[in-house]
Amino acid sequence: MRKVSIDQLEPGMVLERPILRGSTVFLGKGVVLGETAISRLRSMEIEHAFVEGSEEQPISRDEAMTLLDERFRNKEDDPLLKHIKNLVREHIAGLYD
Amino acid sequence: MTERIDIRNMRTRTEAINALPTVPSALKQISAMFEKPRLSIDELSGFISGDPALTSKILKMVNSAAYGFPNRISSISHAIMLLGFNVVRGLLLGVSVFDLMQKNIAGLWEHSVGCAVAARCIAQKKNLQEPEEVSICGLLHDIGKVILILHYPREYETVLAKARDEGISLFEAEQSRFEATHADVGSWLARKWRFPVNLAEAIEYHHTPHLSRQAKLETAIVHVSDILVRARGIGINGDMLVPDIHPESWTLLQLTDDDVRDILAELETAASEAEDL
Repeated sequence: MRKVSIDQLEPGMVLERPILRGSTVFLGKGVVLGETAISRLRSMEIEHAFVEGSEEQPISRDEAMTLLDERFRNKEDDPLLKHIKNLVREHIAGLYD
Repeated sequence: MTERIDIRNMRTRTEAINALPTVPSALKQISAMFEKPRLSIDELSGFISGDPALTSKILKMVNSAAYGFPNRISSISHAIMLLGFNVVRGLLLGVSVFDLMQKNIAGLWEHSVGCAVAARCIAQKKNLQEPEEVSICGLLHDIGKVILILHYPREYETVLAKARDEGISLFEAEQSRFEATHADVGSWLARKWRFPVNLAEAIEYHHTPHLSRQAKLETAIVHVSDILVRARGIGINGDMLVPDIHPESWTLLQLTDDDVRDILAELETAASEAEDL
């Protein structure tokens, strides 16, 4: 799932989450966006939509790994936390593949 | 060393929430409503539906990845029917309280939604009857931080600074300035507001899960969710460091590596959504 601002929507993108107007569904999940739908969305008061595809990461892989180390500062001796950290590291690495 | 604020003073002020000038009126109204011995479904849904902004926030929330409800939930009464009275009460509180909060502890909302998602995910893996209720435990576990800031803004600023400067957890920093922590404060309110005992205990013991007596499983879930969300670095709740993990909680939950991978994947989706909630 990828979050894109309404200005960056392009025809052919597929909605991963429905778009609501009030409490009713305006466009459902799985809808392929066309020109008309996009211009309607631009006239509504919404900022983002969720479409298929993978999220662009806000920081570089190296930065993400440095931050991970910082969060686990002083926890190197705990085998359980070390194990969790490894799983999180794999997960973060996967986001950059 | 400055004298610590004593626990009786803290409890009295916490429970007098409706009378304090620093507390926003929306929260006072909710508090007064929750204290009533018999709050009806109509009263609750009427209260929320009377406020379009609140209604739309709560509906967005229940239809988001945090709840992942398969059917679209289109009204507050529908949400109460599907998710339960206490879940909607918890959501109302979460949405209203954390709204006030973003400016004091940036990222607390993202952190809380992350914990709600992780807690629901673990509860489902453990086949708990009410995963949505457990998710509310995750959403509200840090509510005491909000209350402490409202009641003791100056003192809490020094606590936040201390945690930041010394690289210690907020839970530890609080103990140097207050006789009770955000975990105690949150549980006093949960009890005053007539939330179920498992919610109150999960809040009270999320840093000390071994002390829980009546809600060991829910407390362990919130404890582990808090750790996983911070491990992934989602939101900030005053300190970014991963806290100590209580091995008993981990053993109790018996999460496999694949379970942890699933939770992390769900968190990814929820994190990008949380900004919009």
